[in-house]
Amino acid sequence: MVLGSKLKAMRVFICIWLLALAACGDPGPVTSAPPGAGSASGTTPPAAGLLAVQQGHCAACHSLGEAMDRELAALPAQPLVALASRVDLTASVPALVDHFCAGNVDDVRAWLCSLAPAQAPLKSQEVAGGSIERGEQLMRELACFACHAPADLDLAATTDHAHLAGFLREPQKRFPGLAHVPLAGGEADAIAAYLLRMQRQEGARSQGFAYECYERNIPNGDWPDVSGLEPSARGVVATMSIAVATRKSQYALQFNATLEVPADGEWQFATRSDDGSWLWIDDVLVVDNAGMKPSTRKNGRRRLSKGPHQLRVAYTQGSGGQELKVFWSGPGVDEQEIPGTSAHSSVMRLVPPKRVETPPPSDAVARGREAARAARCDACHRVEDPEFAKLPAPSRAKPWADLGAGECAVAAGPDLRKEVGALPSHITTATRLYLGMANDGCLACHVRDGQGGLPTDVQKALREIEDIGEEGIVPPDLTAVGRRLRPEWLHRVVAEGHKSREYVAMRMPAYGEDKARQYASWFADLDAKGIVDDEPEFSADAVELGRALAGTGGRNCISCHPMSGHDSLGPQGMDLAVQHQRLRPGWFRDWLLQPTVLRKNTRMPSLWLSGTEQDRVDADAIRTWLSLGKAAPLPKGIVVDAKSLQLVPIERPILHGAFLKGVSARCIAVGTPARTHFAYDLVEPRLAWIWRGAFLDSRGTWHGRAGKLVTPLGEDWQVVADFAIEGEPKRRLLGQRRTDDGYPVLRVACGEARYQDLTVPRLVATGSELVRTIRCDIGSLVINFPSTDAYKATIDGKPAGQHTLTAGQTLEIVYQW
Amino acid sequence: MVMLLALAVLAVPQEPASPGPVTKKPLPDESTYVEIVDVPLPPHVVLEVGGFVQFDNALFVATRRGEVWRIEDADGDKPKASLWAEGLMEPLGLIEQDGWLYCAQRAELSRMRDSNGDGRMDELETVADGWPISGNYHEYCFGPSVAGDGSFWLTLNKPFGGEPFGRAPWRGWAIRIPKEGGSFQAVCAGLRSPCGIGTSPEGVVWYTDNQGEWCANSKFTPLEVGDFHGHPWGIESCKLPESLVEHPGEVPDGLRMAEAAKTIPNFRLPAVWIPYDKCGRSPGDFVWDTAGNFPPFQGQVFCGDQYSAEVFRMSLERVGGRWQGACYPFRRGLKSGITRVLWGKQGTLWCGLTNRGWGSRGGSVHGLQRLVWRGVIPFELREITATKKGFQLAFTKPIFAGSALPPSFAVKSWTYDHHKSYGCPPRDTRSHAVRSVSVHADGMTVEIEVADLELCRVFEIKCDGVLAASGKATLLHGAGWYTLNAAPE
Repeated sequence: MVLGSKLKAMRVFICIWLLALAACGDPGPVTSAPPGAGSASGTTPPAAGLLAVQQGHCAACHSLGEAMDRELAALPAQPLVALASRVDLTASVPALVDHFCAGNVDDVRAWLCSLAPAQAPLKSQEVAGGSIERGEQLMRELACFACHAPADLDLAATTDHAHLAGFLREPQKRFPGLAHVPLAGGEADAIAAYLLRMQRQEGARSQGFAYECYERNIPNGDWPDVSGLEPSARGVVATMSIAVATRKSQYALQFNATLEVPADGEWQFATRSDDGSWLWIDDVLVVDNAGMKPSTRKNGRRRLSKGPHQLRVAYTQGSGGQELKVFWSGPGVDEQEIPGTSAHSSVMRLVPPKRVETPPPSDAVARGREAARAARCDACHRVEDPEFAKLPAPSRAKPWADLGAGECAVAAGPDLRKEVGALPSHITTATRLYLGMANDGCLACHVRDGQGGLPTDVQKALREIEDIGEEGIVPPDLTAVGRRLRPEWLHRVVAEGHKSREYVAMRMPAYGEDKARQYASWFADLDAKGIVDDEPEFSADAVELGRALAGTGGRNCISCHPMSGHDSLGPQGMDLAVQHQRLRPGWFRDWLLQPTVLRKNTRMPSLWLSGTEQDRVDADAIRTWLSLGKAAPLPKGIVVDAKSLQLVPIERPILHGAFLKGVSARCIAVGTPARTHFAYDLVEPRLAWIWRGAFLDSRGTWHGRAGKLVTPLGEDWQVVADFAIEGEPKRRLLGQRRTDDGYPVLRVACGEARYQDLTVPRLVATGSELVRTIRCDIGSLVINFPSTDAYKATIDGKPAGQHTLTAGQTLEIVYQW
Repeated sequence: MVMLLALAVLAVPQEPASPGPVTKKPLPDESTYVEIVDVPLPPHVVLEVGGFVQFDNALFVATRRGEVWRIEDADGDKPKASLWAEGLMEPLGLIEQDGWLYCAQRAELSRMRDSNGDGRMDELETVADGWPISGNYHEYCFGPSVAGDGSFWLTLNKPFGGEPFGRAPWRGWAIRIPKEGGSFQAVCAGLRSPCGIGTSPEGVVWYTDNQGEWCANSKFTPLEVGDFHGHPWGIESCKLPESLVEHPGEVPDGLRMAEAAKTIPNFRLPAVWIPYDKCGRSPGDFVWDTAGNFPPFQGQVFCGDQYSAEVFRMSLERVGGRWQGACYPFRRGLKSGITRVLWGKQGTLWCGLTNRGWGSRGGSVHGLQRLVWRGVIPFELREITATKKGFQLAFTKPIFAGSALPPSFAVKSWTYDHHKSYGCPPRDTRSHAVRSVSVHADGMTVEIEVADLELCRVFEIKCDGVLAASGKATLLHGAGWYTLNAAPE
C-alpha cells in the first residue's frame, strides 16, 4: 500500500503541475487516475512501478536502456503542455518544484510569466441561482472526482467563468486529442460555477420573479429545447406576464423564484394562458396548461407548509393572441395574481480577482531560464523561448540504473526509486494494456482483473437511475472484455465513447480511432485468442421462437430489457436490439444460460435451468432473432408509450397517410412488424421509399396543426427510383384492396392496362428484404426497371432491365439493401 | 286578433317580498332541457371526429388520424370500438350508400366496404380525384354531402401558410361529382374554411364558413352553382375547364357588404351571418331537424361550433326568392370543439369533437358526446322572421301579455366590410327604436315594429323582458341575430 499512496501523491502533483502550467486563462487537463487508487482489491499491480516511472516521465532524462525507452515512448502517456503560461509555482507540490527547480522557484515563475502572451482581463459573470449546487451534483454524478481531487480544482484565483466554462465545453480546443467526459453547454456552465464558487458574490436578494425569455419557434405550443441557449432577455420582474417578452410571437418565457408561502394549508394555483403554460412548486408539476390554444385557464392544488418554496413557471407563445396570468389563493389569501412581494429571486455573480500585471524583472527571467534549462524542462515540454535553446545543454542525466539511494525524491517521502524496485527488462502486451489503461484514465472508473475502479467515496455519491443494483451505477468490469464484446463494438465504444448502458449516469469519453484500434487488438490478444465462436444457423422458425421467448408469455426478457428503444415493462436495462452486434456468440449463449457464473451478483436471472439441449436451442433462437438487428420484430408485450405518437407496428402493419418530404402530399406509408417499411406515392402510384428499424413519428400528421413533411424514423432509408412504363402513360390510382393481414394492394390504371401492386417484407439471414408483386389484370405493360447502386432490385430472379407483363401474369421484385 | 298594448299602461310586475329565508329553487338552465352525455372510450381510441354515420347496427367514426372506428352500442353504457380502416388522409366526412361508406380524403373521394365481413375494411375505391394538394395542413377536404340529384359535393379549404409542393388549383372551392363517379365540376368559388357541409330537405347543399381574411364574419349559406363567396385565393381556377364560376375579376378590398353585393360579379351574401363571439366563433357541421328531435324547433338547423363547444340553432325563410334567417343559442358546455353533428336515436344529436390545431372551449381535445332532449319545453325565442315593418318573434310558450312592451326589446343592427384583413368587427352599428309590439291571438307570437330598417345588415334582437304567461318565467336565452338581406313584399 505504500506504493499505492505514493502513486496517489504522484497523481496529485501531476495534476497540479499541469493545472498550474495551464492556469491564468484556461485550466489544464487533469488526466490519468492512479491504478489501484480505489481498487476494491487494493493489491499492488505488477507493473505499478513501471507506471510510476512512466507517469513521472522519469525516463525522459534517466534512461531505462534504449529498448525500454523506445517501448515507453510508444505507449499512451500524459499529455504535456507547452511552457508559455503564467504559473503560480507556489501552488505546486513542493517536492516536484524541488526536483525540477531546486531553489529557483521564483525565477522559474518569472521566466514562465515572460513567455505568456498578454492576458485578457478576467470578467465577472451572472449565473443562474442554484448553479453551484447543480455543478457539484453533476461532478458527483459524473464521478469527476475519480480523476480530479476536489481540492485540486480551486481555480477561483486564476480564471473566470467564461474561460472555464468554455474550456469545459471543448477541452480538445486547447489540448488536441484529449479524451474527456463530454459535457453539454449548461452542464459546463454549472460545473464551472461550482469550481469557481469562491468567487461567489450574492446578488442582492430582490423581490419578484427571475425570468428568461427565449426566442424560439413554438410550432405546437410545446416547451422548446433551450439548453445551452443564451436568453434574449433576463432579469427580475414584479409580475409574471408577457410584458418581459422580447417579441410578439414564437418565444418562451421561464420564471423562477422562491415563493414565501404565508400559511400552512391547501393552496390553489392557476394559470390563464394563450398558448401553453406550466407551473411547478418544488419541482412538482401543479398546473399543466399545455397546448396551442386561445386563452385557457387551468388550476391545480397543493398542500404547502408556511415558508419558502421553489416556484417555476414556463410559458410558450406561438403566434396570434398572447396572454399569461398566474394566480394563487389559499389560507387568508383571496384569489389574485401572485404578487412580486411574495417572491424573491437572487441573481448570483461570480467575481474573479483583479489581475495585477507586473512584468517580471529581466534578471529573474534570465536566471529562471537557466534553471529551467538545467532542469531539462524541454525533455518533456515544448518550450517556446528561442533564448532557451541558446543556453548550453546540461550534461546527460544519470541513467535510471545508476541513480543512487536518495537521489529520487520527487514525491516527498521515501525514495521513489527504491519503492519502484526492479523494473522489467521488456514489456508484455498485458503490461502495455495496463499502462495504457492507467494513463488513459480507464482504470479510474473501470476494474480489470481486480485493478482500478472507482474510489469508494466517489462510487457512493453516484446517482442510481434504474433499480438494477451495482450494475446500474458503476461502469462495467472489463475483465475478459475481449471475450465478451465483438472487436467492432469494442472499437466503437473506445473510439466514440458509445454508450449502451443508458442507465449509468457516468459517461465514457471518446478516445478516437487510433486508441480504439490499439485497445481492440490488445483485448482480442489477451482475452479471446483461440476462441472460435460460430453464429447459430438462421431460420424463420428460430426468429419466431426467439421473439416469443423474449416477450410476455415467454421468458419475459422485456420485463427488464427495452427493445429497439421501446421501454421494458420494469427497470430499463440494456436494449436487446444491439446485443447481437455487441456480444460475441459464445459469450451470449453462456450469459443466457449461466449469468451468475459469469458475473457474481448480477441481476440477470438464470432462466434456463433444464440442462437439456433445449436450453441451447432457446439461447440460439434469441440470438438468431436479434441477428435481424433493426429488422427484428418486436416481442409481444412491448408497451408503446401512450403519449408518444411514434407508430410501432407489432402484430399487424400500420398504414399512415401523410405528406412525405420530397415525395408528395398524397402518400401512404406502410410500417410492418418485420420492421422493414415502405411508402408509396399515390399521386401517380409508385414505390417511393424503403427503410428499416423504427417506422414513423406521426407527430408530423397527428400533432397540433400537423401537415409537416414526414421522413422515416429508422435507418437504411433508400429513395426508390421506381419502374417506368414504356410509352409513359399516366398512372392513376383506382383504389386499394387490403390483404387479410392488412397490407395494401394498389389498383392502378395505366393507359388501357390495369395492374395491382403489393409489397410485403420477408425476413432473411441478412436481416430483411421487401418482396413486391405486380400483377397485370387487363392489357399488357412493358416495364423498365432502372438499376441503382443504393439497393439491389431483382426481377423474377433477373437483374433490373426491361420486363413485359400481360394480363394474368405477375412479376416478383425483391429489394435488398 | 291583434291586441295593441299601450306603453306605460302596465307597470312591470314585481315579485311579492319574501317573508324570510326560503330555499331557492335553482333557475332552469340549458341542462334542464338538454343533457350532454359522454361516450366512454378507452384512451387508445382517439376520436378526432372528421365524420360519422350509423350503419350496420354501429356508429362508424372517421377520424382526422385517417382511421375509421366501428363502435357498437355507442349509446349504451359499454360501447365497443374496433379499428375498421386506417391509412386514410384526414377524412372529414362519412356517409353510407348501398353498403359503401363514402368519405372525402384530402385528395380524393373514396368509398369503402368490408367485403368479407371480418370487421375490417378491405376494399377502397377512388370514386374521384384530381384536386391536388400543395402540402399545407389546412388543405382540408370536407364531405361528401349528397345533393337532391344524387351528386356528391365536397368543399376544399384554402391553405394557411406554406405550400411545399407548389400552389394547387381549386383551393377554396366547392366541387361536385356525378352520382356515378368520375370527373368533378367546380361549382362555387371564394370559400375560406368551409368545415360544415350538408344538404337541406329541399336537396340543396349548404355550407358554413369561418371568419378570417376575405370572410368578414362566420356564415351559413347555400352553395348555388356559379356563386362566388368572396375569398379571391382560388379564383384563377375559374379559367380551368371544370369551373362553373365566372371569374369575378379583381376583388376590391374594403367594400361595405351592400356595396360588395352590388358590384362584385356573382358575389353572394350569406343567408345567415353568425355574429362572431355572440353565437360561437367557428361554425362546423349542421343538420336540419326535419323529424322534430328537439320538438319546439322542428324544421330548424342545428350547428356545432368548433371553438365554443356549443350547438346553436338557425331558422330560415325564403324572402324575395332567397334564403335568409337567424341564429340563436341552444346548448353550451360540450367538452371540445364540435366539427360534426348527426341525428341519433329520436331526440339525440351526436356531436363529434376535435380542437387539434385551433383550440376550443371545454377541457378535452377530442371525443364523442351526444345531446339528449329531456322532453321538457324551455321558454325560448323560437324563431325570428322578417315583416315589412320589423320582425315577427315566435316563442315556444304563451307569453305574459303584460311583458309584450317595447322596453322588453332591444334592437341593434350592423354590417361588415368585405376586406382582406382577418375578420371584421361590426361596422356602422345602430340602435333601432321598437315602435310597437303586438301579440298574436296564439299568445306565443309577437310582431315588433322597428324603426329605420335597412337591408344587408345583421339585426340583433334581444327580448329579455318577455316573460312566460306561466309563472312569469324568463327566457332561457333572450336573443337572436337575423340577417336581413331582403325585405318581404
